[in-house]
Amino acid sequence: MSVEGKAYRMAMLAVKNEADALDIVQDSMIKLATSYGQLAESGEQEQWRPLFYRILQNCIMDFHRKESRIKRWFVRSKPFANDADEEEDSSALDNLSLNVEYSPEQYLQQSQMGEQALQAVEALPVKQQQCFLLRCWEGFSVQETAQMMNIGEGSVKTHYHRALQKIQPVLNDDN
Amino acid sequence: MKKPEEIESHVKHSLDASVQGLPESVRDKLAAARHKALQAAVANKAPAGNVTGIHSKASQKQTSQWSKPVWAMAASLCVMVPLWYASQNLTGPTGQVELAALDISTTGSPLSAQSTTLSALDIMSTLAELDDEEMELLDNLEFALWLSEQEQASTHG
Repeated sequence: MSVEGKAYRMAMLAVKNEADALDIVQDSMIKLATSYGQLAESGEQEQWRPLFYRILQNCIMDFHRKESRIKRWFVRSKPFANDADEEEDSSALDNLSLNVEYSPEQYLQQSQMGEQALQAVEALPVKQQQCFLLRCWEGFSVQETAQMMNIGEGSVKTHYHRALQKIQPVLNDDN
Repeated sequence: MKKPEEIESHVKHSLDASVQGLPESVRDKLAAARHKALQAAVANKAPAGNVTGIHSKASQKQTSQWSKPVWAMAASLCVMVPLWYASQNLTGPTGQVELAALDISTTGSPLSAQSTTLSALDIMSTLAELDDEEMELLDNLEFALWLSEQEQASTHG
């Protein structure tokens, strides 16, 4: 499975827009390509995968920061959730259908693939989502995830646990 | 109630399936993005001062890394040399000195007598009281002076 495909899916889940997701993946790949030389010099070529996902997470966070800044200035709406107000985002799953806007074609495609689980992941706050995807999908350890997200290992465990708690009822209802 | 392992497996399966089912148009765009990234990497490996004459960001960063200590040393030399010179010309029992090196164009002005006759100890104590930000300002001033000299030299030359 291609890395850029996975990266695109992660970005898509985080930003919910195809063009933005493609931009993020492209930026991440360019940054990885330009940083790879340094990695090769220090003999750590095998570390390119954590580096790539770290860059990707940073690009996603940058995108959300930029979005929240624009919203703050031009639209009277709630800014992007950070660690402090992530608690308030617990209702995100309740507003699942309101948050995600799909075209009829996309909706059909998603429903055909049985993407209730993906919608649940999509509705998670960004940090929980990143943490869950890196741990569950990419299989990174707690330590690696903490390094990639630049947070403590305890925070990784907390984010992951909360993400699981939020996804669990959705999948139970699904079945 | 599903177990966490089951949830993880379910989500992972769904994610994998969603990547497998990406439309061809998106795959093409991703391939183009990869190609562009490789081009950027190749361009980044080109030596600084290449055909375009534009230095890469990396080389600029390297320059800024070594330039700071050099400028700091130059600025401190600019301060220390006049002080050393003044200390060689100590006059009188109280340690009053004439800062000949600093006496540039104040002769004849009402302040000349005061400004040219300074205590070396006063200057030393003033310098000692400078904090990091003030020292940085001093460095910046030295740099601005040097820059204006360079600009003047280039316009005359």
